Amino acid sequence: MAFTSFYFLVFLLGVLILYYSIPKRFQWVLLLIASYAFYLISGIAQVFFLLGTTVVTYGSGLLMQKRRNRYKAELAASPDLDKEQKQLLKKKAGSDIHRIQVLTVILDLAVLAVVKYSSFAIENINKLIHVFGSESTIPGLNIIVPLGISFYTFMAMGYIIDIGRGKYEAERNFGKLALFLSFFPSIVQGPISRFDDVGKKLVAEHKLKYENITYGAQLITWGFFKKLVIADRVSPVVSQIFSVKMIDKLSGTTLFFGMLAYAVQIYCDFSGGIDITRGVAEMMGIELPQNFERPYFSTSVAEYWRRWHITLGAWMREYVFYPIMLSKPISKLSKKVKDKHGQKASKYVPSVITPFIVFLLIGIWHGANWRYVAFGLYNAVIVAGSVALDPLFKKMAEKLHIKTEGKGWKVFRIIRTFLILGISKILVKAPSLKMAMKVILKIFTSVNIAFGSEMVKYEFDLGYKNNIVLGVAVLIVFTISVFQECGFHVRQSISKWFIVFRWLIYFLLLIIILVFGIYGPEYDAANFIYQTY
Amino acid sequence: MLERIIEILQGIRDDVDYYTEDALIDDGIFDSFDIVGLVSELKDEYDIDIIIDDLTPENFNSAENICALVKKLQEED
Repeated sequence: MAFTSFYFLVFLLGVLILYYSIPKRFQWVLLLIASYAFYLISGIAQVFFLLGTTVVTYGSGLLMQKRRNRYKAELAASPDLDKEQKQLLKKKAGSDIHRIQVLTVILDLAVLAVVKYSSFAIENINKLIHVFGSESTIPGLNIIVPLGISFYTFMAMGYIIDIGRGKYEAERNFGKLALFLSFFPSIVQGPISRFDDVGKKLVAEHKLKYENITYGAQLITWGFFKKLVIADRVSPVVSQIFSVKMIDKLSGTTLFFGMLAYAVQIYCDFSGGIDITRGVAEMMGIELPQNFERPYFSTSVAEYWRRWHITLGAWMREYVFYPIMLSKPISKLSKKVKDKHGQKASKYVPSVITPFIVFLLIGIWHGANWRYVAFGLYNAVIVAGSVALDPLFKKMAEKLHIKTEGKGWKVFRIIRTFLILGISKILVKAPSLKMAMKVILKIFTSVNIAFGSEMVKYEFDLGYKNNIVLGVAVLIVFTISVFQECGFHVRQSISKWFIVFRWLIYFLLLIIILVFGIYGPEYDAANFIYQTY
Repeated sequence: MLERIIEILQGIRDDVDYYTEDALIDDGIFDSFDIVGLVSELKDEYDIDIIIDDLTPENFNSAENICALVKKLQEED
C-alpha cells in the first residue's frame, strides 16, 4: 500500500479515528496492529523476516540485560571486594554481554546479506567461474527483498548495541519493541529511529490536539507536493536521459541537465516521502527525527552527509565511525605515525582511513551493485581528501586573498558541493558503472548549448505547460528552503496568519496537488525511490 | 586543568569562546572529526582511556564538562 495511494489515506483516517476514540493506554496496541496490517499487505512471507528480527532482537536484549543485572547484584552482594576484583567482575560481564551483542548483530546482518546481497554475490561468483573457463553456474535464490529491511535491521542493531553499551535497559514488553521496529509510517523508508527516543514516544499516551492534526496535515500535503508535482513529473525525463539507448546519442550538456534534474527528483522524492511519514506520525502526537536539513545548501560533502538522510549518517557515526576511530588498531596506527612523522600527521591518518569504511558501507547499504560501491568510494575520496588537504586549501585561500568569511565564497562552496555530489548521483542513476563513466566523461567533453532541441528531437521534452509547472514548483520549494535556511519557521508563521488567508494557502496547495500531481493508472502514484533500499 | 583543556580546544577550533560555549555538540560546532581529534589529544595529554560509551553530547558540550570527564576518568584509573 503506497503512501500516495487513495487506500493509504482511507487506512490512515480509520487508524486516526480509532486512535483518538479508544482508551489512551491501548493506543500503542492499535498502532502495533495497524503496523502489522500495513505490513501484511506487502506479503505474508515478508512478515516472517520482520518478526524473526524482532524475536531475535527482543531475546538478545533481555539476555544482555539479565547478565548486566547479575553483575550489579554480584557487586552489591560483595561490598568488600577490592578494585582489582571489581574490575575482574566488570570485565567478565562485559565480555559475556559483548558476545551476545556480536552474535545478534552478525545474525541480523546475515539475514540482510542473504535477502539483499546474495544475488549480487552469486552473479559475481558466476562471472568469476566463467573467467576460469567453467560452464557451470550457481543458481540465484530469487528472494523478494522484504519491505524496509535495511531500515528496521539497522534500528534493531542500534538497539542491541545500545543495550550492550548500557545506554538504557532492554524492553521487557515484546509488543512495544515490535511496534518500534514496525511502525507503519516509517517502515517504508525510515527515518532510522533510536529506541530511547522514538520507542518511548510510540508507547506514550497522546491527547487529540488541534496543532498536531493541522501541523501533521500540512507536512503531509507538503510531502505530496514535492513527490507528486515535482519528483514524479521529472522522473520520466530523467529515466529517458539515463537510459542505455539515450546515453550514447545525447550530448554532455543534456546529460548534465539530466544530472540536475535527477538531483531535484531524488531530493523531492525522498524528502517528500519523509515529510509524509513525519506528518502522519505528528498527527498521532509522535515526533519522528528529522532526516533532511536542506542538504543542497551544504558547503562541503562532509556537511552534506550531516544534512541528507541524517538518521543514516548519525547511525554510521555512532555505530561505525566512532568505534573504528577509537579502536585499538587505529590508536596503535596513530601512535606509530606520531612517532615517525609527528603529532599533525598522526591526526590525519585515521581521519583519512575511516571515511573509506563508513562510505563504503553507506554505498552498499543502498543496494547490491558495483555502482553503489563506486558511489561510496567516490564520497570517501572527497571527504578524506578534504580532511587531508585542508591545511593546503587554507594556505591557498590566504595567498589568493580570498575572503573566506564572505557570502560570495559561501555561495561558491555551495555550488561546488552540489556539482561534486551531482557526479555521485550519476553513479547511482546510470544503468551500469561503465555507462556512468561514459556520462561523466561526456559532460566534460561534449558540449551542446542547444540541448533543449535534443529533448524535443528524442521526444522526452515535458512540453511547455509541464515545464512551467515544474519551474514554478521547484521555485516554491527553493524559496521556502531559503527562508528556512535563514531561520524562518514557515509552518509556525503561517499558523499565525488570519484564518481566511491561512486556509486559502492550504486549499491552494491541495488544489495544486490534485490538478498538477502526476498519477498513474487507478490514480496510484509511482513508488518512492528509497522504498527499494 | 580547565585552562589546558581550553588550549587544546583552541588548537582544534580557535573561533569559539570556550569559557561561555555550552553546546559544542548540540549546536554542531564540533563535527565528528573534531571530536576524534580532541579525544586523541586528551588521551595523550592525560594518559586516560576514553571509550565509545564516554562519547555523549553531555560530556563534550562545554570545556567544563570535558574537564569533569577527564577528572572522572583519571579517578577511575
